[in-house]
Amino acid sequence: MPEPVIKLESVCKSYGNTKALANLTFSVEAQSIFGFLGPNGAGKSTTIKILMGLRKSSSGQAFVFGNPIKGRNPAILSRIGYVPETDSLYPSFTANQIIATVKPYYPNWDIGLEKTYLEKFELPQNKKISEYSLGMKRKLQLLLALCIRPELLIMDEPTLGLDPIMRYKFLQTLVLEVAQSNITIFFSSHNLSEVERICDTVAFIKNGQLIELKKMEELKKKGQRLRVVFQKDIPQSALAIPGVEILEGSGKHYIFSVSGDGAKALEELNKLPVFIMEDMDLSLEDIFVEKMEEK
Amino acid sequence: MPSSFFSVNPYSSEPVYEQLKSQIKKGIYWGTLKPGDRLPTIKEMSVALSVNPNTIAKAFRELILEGYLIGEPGVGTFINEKNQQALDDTKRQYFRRLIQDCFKEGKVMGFNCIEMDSVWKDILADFDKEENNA
Amino acid sequence: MGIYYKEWIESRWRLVTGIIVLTALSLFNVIMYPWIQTLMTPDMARLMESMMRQMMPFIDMPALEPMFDSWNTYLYGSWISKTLYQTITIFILLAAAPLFAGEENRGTLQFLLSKPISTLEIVSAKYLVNVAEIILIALVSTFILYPVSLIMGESFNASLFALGLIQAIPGYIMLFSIAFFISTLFKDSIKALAASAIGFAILSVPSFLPDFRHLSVFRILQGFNLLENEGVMWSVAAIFLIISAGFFILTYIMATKKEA
Repeated sequence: MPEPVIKLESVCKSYGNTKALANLTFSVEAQSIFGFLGPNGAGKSTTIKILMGLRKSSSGQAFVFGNPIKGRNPAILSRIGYVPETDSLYPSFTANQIIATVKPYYPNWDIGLEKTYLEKFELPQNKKISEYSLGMKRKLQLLLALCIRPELLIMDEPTLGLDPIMRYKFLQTLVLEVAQSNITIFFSSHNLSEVERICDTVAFIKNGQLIELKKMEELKKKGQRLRVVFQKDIPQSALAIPGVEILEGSGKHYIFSVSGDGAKALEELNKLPVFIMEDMDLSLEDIFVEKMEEK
Repeated sequence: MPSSFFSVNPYSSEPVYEQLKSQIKKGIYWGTLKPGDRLPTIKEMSVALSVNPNTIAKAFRELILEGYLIGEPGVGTFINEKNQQALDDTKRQYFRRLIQDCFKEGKVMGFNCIEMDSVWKDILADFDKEENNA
Repeated sequence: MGIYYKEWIESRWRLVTGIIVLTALSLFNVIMYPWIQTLMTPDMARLMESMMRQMMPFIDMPALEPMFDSWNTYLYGSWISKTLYQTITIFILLAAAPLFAGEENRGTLQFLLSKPISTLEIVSAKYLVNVAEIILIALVSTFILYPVSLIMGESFNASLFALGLIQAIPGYIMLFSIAFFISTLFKDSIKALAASAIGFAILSVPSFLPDFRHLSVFRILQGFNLLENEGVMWSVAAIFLIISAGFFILTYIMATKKEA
């Protein structure tokens, strides 16, 4: 099992009396597209900043490429592409000037990609950043992050504020990168639909704590929410199956929630006189809202 | 075979790779995907559908294991020359399930077997007539 | 490399403005000379001197008379000993304040710190580019007087001015280093500027106290000793450079603690 690209072990961060992160522990496997979900103020940005060495953890240890992160480490930073949440580009510089500033520090900078993305993203090279729209700034940040041919791409709410077309192009670019290189992508988002589209692993964070971490196919597997119509009134044994909970319904028609070992529960349900047992669509949004309202 | 032939809904509770698998299988059952046809590359599909390439890869992998597809390294992924008998059996099973679901729903609505049987016979008779006229 | 380029791009207009303003002020002295010559007779000079000594006894005034004596002493006295060090001090304040405080303010510090550039290189680039600009401004605005003197038909005592700058430049570097360090203590350029200005004001206090005059940085910058044919104060210049290095190190330490 190859070393995880990112690993957090009991990472805590406090600002005075406020706890931003509490014992955060999880790993990101190589070549996965990892979505980091949570409400505002959950600690997503703080986690990302700690991984980038921009902030120091109060306790615990973060690892990137197996190396413990203790403050800024240029050797590691040269392997990471970073797209921040806030606008941090020099307003009086042009795109070309910004590229010229950072290019020398990345040995793998790909000039071909630079040309490709400048064209694909339609970025005017000689306009000042102060004249760029939010979407253009984001795209330039993505260009800067991808042209270095990073092993790891860390993004903080990358599509926030982008219109649907730009968001689509952004996602397409990410998917293309994953398809043609060994990149690992770790990003935080509010936008569940884009996470649902491209992530293979999802972590939910709330109040600085990890609520859940699951592979997307686990999260979305069948048999979690069932519409069941019995031939006659609901048999008593249906109420006693472990892991099966009635969410709604009466008479013959019920909605069940199945947790834990779904296979066993389904087996038991199948023994009952059932007319219809069909899967109900459970979107990531439904799952997210439920998880956030628990605890 | 262009990528636009396929479409997936990432927001459904059915995993994307399952959706893709059933679309490819259906194409094979219907005969629109013939043995020897080349599927788009994983890269082409993932970009066209805007989904994680690992998802597409998984669908291909499982279909190769199940014998529907055959992968030629460096060349592409192709529809397998499945044993005709085995394919017919699978198609029959799929068809049976479709009909079973229909009848189940009929029963929920309260129709009895005799009523459902007469509807069934009616529909088949209509199809027959159409075929004879054509 | 890239970061030096970036600091250059950010500060080049400051350099150009500095050169233009100081050169203009320098040339202004030249233009004023004919007027001064006619107005400032030796008697006038002595009268002014005693008036000023009476009004501001705490200011150590050199003898005014010789200053209006000759072209070189006049220029030295009004340029090196007054206008140059005063305006360069203002330039230093303006150049240093935004170097760290301004980056944090604008959020661009996060951009820099997320790149694989060592903190030492980030600090060095800011320091060296700006110090080079300060030296360049001092040199250009001073030595423009050479060709101008020739045009005016006067001889230019290049070694006097060169020695004056050799003594003054370590002082300018030290003042910059202090303001540079102060910039890391604030997240707002204006606050950093104000704090540095207050710092410099405190440094100028010794020049008002007769017994401690020799401790004043600004006094050294004025370089009257060179007019009085004393040598360059080499040991003082060395001390200034050591103090500069000290503040550079302090700035580096503060920079490594920066979070974005």
